Amino acid sequence: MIAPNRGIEIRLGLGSCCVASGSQQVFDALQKTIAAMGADVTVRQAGCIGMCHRVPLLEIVEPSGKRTMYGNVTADGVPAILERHISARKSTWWIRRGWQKLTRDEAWLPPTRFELDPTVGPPAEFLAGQVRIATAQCGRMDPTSLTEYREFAGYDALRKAVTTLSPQQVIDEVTRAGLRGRGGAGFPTGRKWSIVRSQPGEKKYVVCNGDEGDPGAFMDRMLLEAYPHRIIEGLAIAAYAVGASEAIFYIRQEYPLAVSRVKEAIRQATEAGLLGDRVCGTNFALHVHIRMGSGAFVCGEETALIASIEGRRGMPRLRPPYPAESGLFGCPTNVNNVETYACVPAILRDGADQFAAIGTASSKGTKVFSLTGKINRGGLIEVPMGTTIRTIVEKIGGGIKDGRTFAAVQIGGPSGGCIPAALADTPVDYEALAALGAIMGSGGLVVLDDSDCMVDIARYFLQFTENESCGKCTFCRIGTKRMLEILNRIVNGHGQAEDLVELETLAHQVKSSSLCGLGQTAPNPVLTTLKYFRADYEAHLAGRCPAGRCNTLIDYKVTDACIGCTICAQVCPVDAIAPNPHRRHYIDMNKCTCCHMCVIACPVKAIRVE
Amino acid sequence: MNRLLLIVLLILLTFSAFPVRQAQAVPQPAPAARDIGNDYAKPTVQYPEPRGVALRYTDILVLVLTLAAGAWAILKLRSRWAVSIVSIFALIYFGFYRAGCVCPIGAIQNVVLSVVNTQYSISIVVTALFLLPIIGSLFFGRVFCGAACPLGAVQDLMLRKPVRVPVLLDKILRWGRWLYLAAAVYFVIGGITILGRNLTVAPDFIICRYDPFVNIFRVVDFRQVLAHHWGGMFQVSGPWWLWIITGLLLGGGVFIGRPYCRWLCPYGAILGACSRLSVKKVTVMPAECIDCELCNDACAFGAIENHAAAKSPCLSCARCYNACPMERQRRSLPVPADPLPDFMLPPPSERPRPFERAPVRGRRIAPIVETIDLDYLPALLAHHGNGGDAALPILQAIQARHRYLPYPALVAVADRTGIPMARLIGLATFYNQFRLAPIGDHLVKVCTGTACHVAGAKRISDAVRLYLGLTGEDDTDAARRFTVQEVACVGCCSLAPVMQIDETTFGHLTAETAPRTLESYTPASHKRHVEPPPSHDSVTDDKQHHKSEEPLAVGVADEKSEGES
Repeated sequence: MIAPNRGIEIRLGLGSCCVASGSQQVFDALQKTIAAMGADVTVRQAGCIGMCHRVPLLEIVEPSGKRTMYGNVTADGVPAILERHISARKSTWWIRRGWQKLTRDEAWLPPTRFELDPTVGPPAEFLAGQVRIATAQCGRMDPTSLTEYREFAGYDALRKAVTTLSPQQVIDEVTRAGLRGRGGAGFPTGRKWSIVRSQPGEKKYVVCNGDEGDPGAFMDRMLLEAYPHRIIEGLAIAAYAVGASEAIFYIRQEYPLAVSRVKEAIRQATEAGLLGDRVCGTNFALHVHIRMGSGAFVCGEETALIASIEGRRGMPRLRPPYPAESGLFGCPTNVNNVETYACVPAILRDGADQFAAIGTASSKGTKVFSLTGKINRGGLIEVPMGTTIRTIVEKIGGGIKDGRTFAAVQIGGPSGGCIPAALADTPVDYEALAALGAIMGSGGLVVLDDSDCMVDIARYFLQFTENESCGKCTFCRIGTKRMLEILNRIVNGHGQAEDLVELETLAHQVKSSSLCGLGQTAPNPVLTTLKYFRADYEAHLAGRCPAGRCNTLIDYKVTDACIGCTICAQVCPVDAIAPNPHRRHYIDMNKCTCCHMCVIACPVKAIRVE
Repeated sequence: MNRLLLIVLLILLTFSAFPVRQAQAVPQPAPAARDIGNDYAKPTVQYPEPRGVALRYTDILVLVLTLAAGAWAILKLRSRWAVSIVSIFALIYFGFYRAGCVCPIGAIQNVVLSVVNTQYSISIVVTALFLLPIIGSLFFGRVFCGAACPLGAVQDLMLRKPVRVPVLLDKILRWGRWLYLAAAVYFVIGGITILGRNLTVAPDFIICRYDPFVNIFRVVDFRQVLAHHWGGMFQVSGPWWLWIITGLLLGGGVFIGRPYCRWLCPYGAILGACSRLSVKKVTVMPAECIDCELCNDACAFGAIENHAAAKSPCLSCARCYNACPMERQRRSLPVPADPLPDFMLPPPSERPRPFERAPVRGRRIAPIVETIDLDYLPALLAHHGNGGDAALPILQAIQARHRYLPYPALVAVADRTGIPMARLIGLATFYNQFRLAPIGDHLVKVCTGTACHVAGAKRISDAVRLYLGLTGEDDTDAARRFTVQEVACVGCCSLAPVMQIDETTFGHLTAETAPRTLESYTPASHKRHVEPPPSHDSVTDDKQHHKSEEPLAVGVADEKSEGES
């Protein structure tokens, strides 16, 4: 029993996806239980720790400094966890708890079933090999607290920059660190800043690109939700370096929590004199605004983003002039990705050398990835540049779900490509990835297994880009549509041999005849899958889908393993299966719509896709 | 383990109560004739059946063994067949051989009487008879009901075509047990005098008097049989009205599982309450349950809740084991490959089908027209300014208010800011976020990001659309409760597949759980204005409403549409 409750602190992640997996219920249960116990405990929210596969995740810090972590906590388990660390003060608690124990079996389950030790086993494997720069202090810092951010040397870099360094020195430092744009293309940040700085003109802008449209990527959201102050600090340093007095956050409207946290952080920083007319007491003035995107993927492209801020349709324009020369309202504008800004404070605080020591010759520092897909331990990870894809998938991610085979990773979203398992030893590096036909992208890393059809993946991304194409360039507008038609034909089993040639020709034409990154990279998923998974395409031409994903090419069959439990019949939405208790079931393929529900529902995996 | 300690403690407490009562029963001297009075009639001396002490203890031993065998058959063997054997033995021994008179149900009355009447003391045999099944129930659930009770056995044998009793009715009828128990106790203690009103009754053992099955047991006279008097083997027992009750219970019992046990048995009430605390219970293949609910169909007593036998109403009959596919697999029972003919298929389970469509509450007849209040616009425009760059924030603010962009609002913005209407419409149609038509009460966004796509986002959206009965290009259901959209990544990739309803995100969905998630959204009390009363010219009014319905009809803007709002 712990006598003094004072000082016990409970930290719970409350990001968007934590809440979606039940953190809010756990938080409510915590509050309720603590009130019922009459204990003196502070519950605080913590930034994302990246272990999305273990949320709701809570950490209990005792006054002695002892930390205990609990993962996948359920609201039911909260009383047991709290009892382990805190002794109740209210006598009514014992009665309530006694009754709970008397009536519910669950109340006896030990709290240790949630416990996870970050130093051994899978959590350690997940955390080992990660280097935290953009996501430093994850899980320890309350995202909504400026005080806490400053406890971890927050805003020291900004103070150092504006009080002791000249803008040129700041740019030199960033250049020396070798920081490159984290939005995907990898343009050296220092060079971009010096271009903006060298432009004539009084008015300049810095823009933080938080329009993270890549499907399968959520790094920017996590960074904005968990470290709003770090991004603001990076943005302010950039503004100081390029000589801008206006800064704009452009954040997707799909991220309401990120918007509200950044808004609150701006307010706090302005009140503390870290933003506003006199930043840190100097003559440098900076005003930060927030603009919300409106759901157009193309606005992640810098010229389209600027058009959107100016209140026009988000269509890219011809470059040059680059935004660095003539951007927002015709003024020189520095546009960087959220993650780029998140790296800046560490560079200035700890020195460029420390940052440059991490990574490969051409790619320095770390990269944040959102590791998702058919992986055991998904989440937000930050690894040094040069880490191989295999390390990420097998060490950090803990391998493929359900013991299936690792087939490929899709990196860089719709602009990236599929890298097959055979090439998984490729390091994460701008040039190495580009050589394979993929791009670093903003950091979506979707792991695919042998049940994923590569043709379907290519079709999926092309459908996305076709839909998101702004329609300005003919090849992007019509070319992607024609390519999509061909792919649809192939997945429906009507493909012909010459379709593949046509697809390749169109892909190269779209690539070479589009203005912006969207069109130039849209064919990448098709080209990489054609290059590495040509056999899959040929199987589809022969009327077969090896992964069993393309509805018109597959049949569902019940095997001998059927135990006659009728579950498939119960879930079938079109009554294609008649219920036959304790007997083998049959699927009427004339009625079947390939909704796959029976396969998911079958407890003994007795339904096979052919 | 802790729970076990609790139970042992509880038992010890119960035990200690009886010896104390018996010790208090001070032997009274035999009453003298004058104390009794003149009208004292000497009672007919009733001699108990001559049974030796050893024989009386045999009953206890048999009860213990039956309970043990029952528990073993139910919890270890998990076999309906073994349970039946034990219960048939109990029927023969306690029912026919002991003529239904080694009866824990009746023992309630003796125990109650011994507690209230200090002069009445009960033997250890009766105490044991009363307590053993209760102790059994604390450890193993209602094993007594399932395997050792002759009354239960005779009903169980009759049960042939169980029909499901509505849950609510069942719950109400279950109170009958407690009423019966209360009545039995009331009659045993002979009633009470309360508030000066004399409510006393003649003391009686009503459980025994109205025992509806004991008359069957007594039809066969075992004493005659043992004496080889075959002629006197059958005897008349019980009054005629008791036979009617027996007939009703057994006849009804063909279709309704064990009506006496479930709704009348006072001892069942006690055992049910105690079995709530039981250490072990009937479980349908714990940890392997596949949620097929066949056990639910098989249970004649409606005792399966949350895929496990609920402790209190479960009568430990072990029927569910036979229906469980996992249990059958464990016992290596075959799964025939030929399907049953259609007429032999079981009735559809009562479980809600995942795809049962949402009730369509009246088709949309009149176009829904909201009177649009644009009073907020001047303040909004003042806040965002009139410049072209303010266009997007203004549209976002308007959409946040109405959940779509009403045409009159766009006209008003164009008028007041000077931003051309074409540009506003251009923005509204370029960005995916904006909607030009009103939506249902809830906006369902099915994420189609990469992670969700590979996890089967298409199946989720198909399931949701099927659930709402949407076909073709429809995105809003007929009841206007939900509007379904497929959106690009919502950034919760580790929870794929994901769906957002309004602002709440739901992760790890399956095609089965997604429609159920919608179910949890009760119809909102979203107020809609039917039709504003036509003030001047109803025809013009009508025209305007249609316009605001189809806001893309650009160029028909007139002053009135703004005036109306």
